[in-house]
Amino acid sequence: MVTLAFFFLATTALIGAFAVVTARNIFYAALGLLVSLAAVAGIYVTLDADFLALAQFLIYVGGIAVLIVFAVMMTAQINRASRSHRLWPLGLLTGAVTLAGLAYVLANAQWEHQGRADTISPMVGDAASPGLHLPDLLFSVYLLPFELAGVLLLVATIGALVIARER
Amino acid sequence: MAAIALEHYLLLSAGLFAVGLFGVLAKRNVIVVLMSIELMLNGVNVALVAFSRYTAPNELSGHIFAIFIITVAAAEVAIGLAILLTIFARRNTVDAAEINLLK
Repeated sequence: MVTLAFFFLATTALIGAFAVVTARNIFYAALGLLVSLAAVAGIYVTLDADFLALAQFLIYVGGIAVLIVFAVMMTAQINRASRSHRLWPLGLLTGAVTLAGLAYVLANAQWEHQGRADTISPMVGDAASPGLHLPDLLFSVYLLPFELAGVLLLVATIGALVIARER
Repeated sequence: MAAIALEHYLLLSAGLFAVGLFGVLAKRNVIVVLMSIELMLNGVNVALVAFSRYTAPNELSGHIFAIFIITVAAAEVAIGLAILLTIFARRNTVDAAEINLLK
């Protein structure tokens, strides 16, 4: 069941990603991004990362994707095709080489699993240690980075307002 | 049906990253480039969470990384789109090849 869900979600995520880079209409590219991000949220669920799945939905699907759709609308070039550079085959080559390199590495690497990879199935219930939750970590061990992230968001908000202000 | 291995997740992650990389390098529309950057960040997040789940399920450190990457990505998109809208207001283009203010 989980396997089926994983392959369905992975395929959806990759199809969405391809739509982003191949769609001629920019609006369709934005929709492809939305589909891909939502599928990745599902992938997080299969990895027992419920909180991350929720955050992914709220921030990416609810926030970033909508922001991008707004930008697509406001720049009013929806009907103009999303063109590629003259040198796009070079980009394709770089992407293909990166993918091949990563695939080669992970076909040959030996990772230090706690147990073997193919015997741990995701979704084995409370394997992600029942006592430990993400918020506990965020507010204790990782408190300083957490506060810094807050400062970063504040700076980004003010910066975006200042940059986009009508002059 | 066989259980899903870490490699499956990593392959998905590598696929998302490579597609995003192609988009960043090949597309001319700055909005599409920003979308492709989001794809790359998502690919990395999948790898981090998968590693966390399979190699250290009791520590959640991969989740912490992913949370902060999502935060930084949100800030990056906000600033990026603000810059983009300003450029569009002044130069009436979102084409990366035509944005040559520094020339």
